[in-house]
Amino acid sequence: MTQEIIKYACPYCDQELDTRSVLKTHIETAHPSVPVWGREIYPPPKGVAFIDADVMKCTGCGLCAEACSMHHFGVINKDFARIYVRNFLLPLPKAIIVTCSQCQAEERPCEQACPISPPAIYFDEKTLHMVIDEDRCTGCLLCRDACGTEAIRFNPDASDKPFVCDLCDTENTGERNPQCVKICPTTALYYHNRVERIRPLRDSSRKSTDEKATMVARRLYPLTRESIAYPVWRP
Amino acid sequence: MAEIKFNLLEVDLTTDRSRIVDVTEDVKTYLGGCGLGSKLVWDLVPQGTDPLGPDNILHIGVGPITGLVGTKVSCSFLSPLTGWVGEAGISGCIGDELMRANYNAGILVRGKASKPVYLFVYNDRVEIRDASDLWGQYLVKTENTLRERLYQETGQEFGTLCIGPGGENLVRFANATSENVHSASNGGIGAVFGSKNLKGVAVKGTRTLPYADHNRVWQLKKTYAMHPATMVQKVSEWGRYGANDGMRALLNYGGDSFKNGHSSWDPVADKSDGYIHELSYRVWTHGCPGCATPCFQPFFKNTPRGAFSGELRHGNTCGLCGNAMMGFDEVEEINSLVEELGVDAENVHGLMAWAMDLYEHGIITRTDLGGIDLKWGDRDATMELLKKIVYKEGHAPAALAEGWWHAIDVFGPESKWYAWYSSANQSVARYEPRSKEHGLGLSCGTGHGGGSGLFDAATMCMFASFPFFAIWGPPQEVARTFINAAAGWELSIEQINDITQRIDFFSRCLSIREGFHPAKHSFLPQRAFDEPVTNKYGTTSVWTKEEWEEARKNYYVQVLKLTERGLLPEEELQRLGLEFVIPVLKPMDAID
Repeated sequence: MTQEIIKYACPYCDQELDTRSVLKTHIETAHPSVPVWGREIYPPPKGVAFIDADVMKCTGCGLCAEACSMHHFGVINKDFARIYVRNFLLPLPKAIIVTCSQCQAEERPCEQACPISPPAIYFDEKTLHMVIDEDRCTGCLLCRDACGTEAIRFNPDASDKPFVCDLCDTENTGERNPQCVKICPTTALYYHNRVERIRPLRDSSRKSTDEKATMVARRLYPLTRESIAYPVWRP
Repeated sequence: MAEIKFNLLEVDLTTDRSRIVDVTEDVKTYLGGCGLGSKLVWDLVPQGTDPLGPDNILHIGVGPITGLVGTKVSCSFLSPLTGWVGEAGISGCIGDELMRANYNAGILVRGKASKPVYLFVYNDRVEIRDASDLWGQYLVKTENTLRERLYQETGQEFGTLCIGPGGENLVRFANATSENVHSASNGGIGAVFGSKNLKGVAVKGTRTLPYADHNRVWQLKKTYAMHPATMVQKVSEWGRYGANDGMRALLNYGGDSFKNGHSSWDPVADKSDGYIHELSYRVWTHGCPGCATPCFQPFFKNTPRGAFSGELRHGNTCGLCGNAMMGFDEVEEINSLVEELGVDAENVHGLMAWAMDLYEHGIITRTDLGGIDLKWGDRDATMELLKKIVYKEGHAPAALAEGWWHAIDVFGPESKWYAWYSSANQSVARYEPRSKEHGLGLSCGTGHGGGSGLFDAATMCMFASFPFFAIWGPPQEVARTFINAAAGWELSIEQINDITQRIDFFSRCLSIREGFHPAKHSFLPQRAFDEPVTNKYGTTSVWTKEEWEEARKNYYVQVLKLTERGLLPEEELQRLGLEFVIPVLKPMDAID
């Protein structure tokens, strides 16, 4: 069989290499400190920023959740993560991402629900991300129930207090470097600031996963065969 | 570094009991998946057991690195289709859930339930629950009902593996599916589920993954997920039309087959181009947990006849496209029904194309088919035939439901020349055995139904592993790197090579114990020798007996590491620690 001669183009310069292994060696030697492929296409924002998700690009690999649990807890467990996917059958399988929208002041139901004063869960104006003050938090979980996006998680195997996305700034110094965005292989996750978005409030990303799944299920409407779309689609 | 233990969840449907068995030593010898599975079948299923009886076992196997190089589950059992070893692989979330429940050697199902049940596994909770309201349902409804119910009960999304009417009716090539698009199809696994009254298995795990060194494993995962080689794979046609990617190359150079294998090129090929699936029917891309090169392309097709959803990929599941003179437009709908009914698409497509050929030549009649006018390319007739096969209604459909060997007996010797099947009672589907450049005639002429050795034992997904080869080297090196990090072992490359050889040999030993013998069962359909076919560019292919026997001898010796007659070399068996098979197999003239 005649084989097409395939050249492997270097993504960082004009060279074309003969095989994948030669490409690998070339990248390691000629471009030793390149940005990660396809994700850091612009420098990370300095101001207020949050992780947003292109739900239709997400394929449900769960690497974001694994990166998060590794960074914060040092083990690989998707249930220890502050970003995660829920898998729905619509009836076709679809993964829906859940992320903390780092909501603005007008719309932080978690902060408003916290019975402690000042709230134990708050948006730190200096480090620019949500923080849960574990010393003052009582573990009542009212914040988790108030969050429409289901972004606040509680897992007693990981911690006796709930946890929320802190943009990977575990020491709360302002060094935000979200690991999930870096590892997402489909670039479904992106990290950008308020100025770049036309609508400042997070309404569209603050829907529950059930709502988002219902919206995706509409692409498959009508299913006239005998089947149940989950969640149940209502017109 | 601490070594981890391998836990096998053993469930007995007859006695309603379950227990956890530590199988770490066996996993060190045979790895998990089909390696451990073949050992379990050899030890626990007596020679000559009826595969559809209560003494057959079903091992839903994972291995040390499930989830790291793709997520594959490899199920082992005695095959109802051949009577030899049975191995069916499936990807998707079920493997991930098994690992997260820490049953990292899989689930072993024994016995038979007295009424329809499903197995509920949620971390430590293992329950055998009533499934009478699910029995008889099509797969989409079964899975959605079960997942919805379990979500309401536990707040968790369960991974499920269920059968449809095909498995319930003990069709010999029935399958078990998961998430409506993944399926374990080889060897008639669905019939094994059905014979145990097991409608399905639902698993959920929330524990930390069982690895010896999370940091080391994570470094490997990060390297893979962020590597250019992975991106090259992902953004190529792979990410757009999945495993349909390879078909075009095969097609243009004579590797595809048309009209029940009577030709290797036909203009109808253009109706099953990957683009049609990608642009007209695919809704989004879905992947397995942990895989950075997702390849599942679910489709949706809305018609006045109804809506069809499912997944369509690679040569195995679109055998009808060429062989029955159809294109994706028809096959999307037919496959949607195939997935609902729960039968192996590869086998049923081949059998139906054969039925069309037999009908055209008068070897079976319209009455035999239960009144169907089974013309080439007729979608509605094919759908009707499919339903009749699954419910075994009518003389010809009921024969077809038992597989090729039985159907040939029923239809008579005239039908055999038209039959396009392999030595493992499996349809040849779209892969043309006469095309020597592709080497397809060798594996389909010598196989016995076993798994893909190292891939199905470690477990690794062959599709996901292409970028791993670019980053770390050949499959054995990839397996070694990941197994050492995940399990905490220090395997050398020689040890991995030995394990691979052991698994491959042992699976063959099991088949031989159950009656397979290369001298009796290795064969290519007669047409491979007396019917030349021509590809798109005018090259003609056909085998001569001498050519094939010579090629097969080389294949036995160089690829399978057997002797020239395809038998097992005694010294190798001794060296690999398989000397216990010698007293069993020597009297069968299977050892050289």
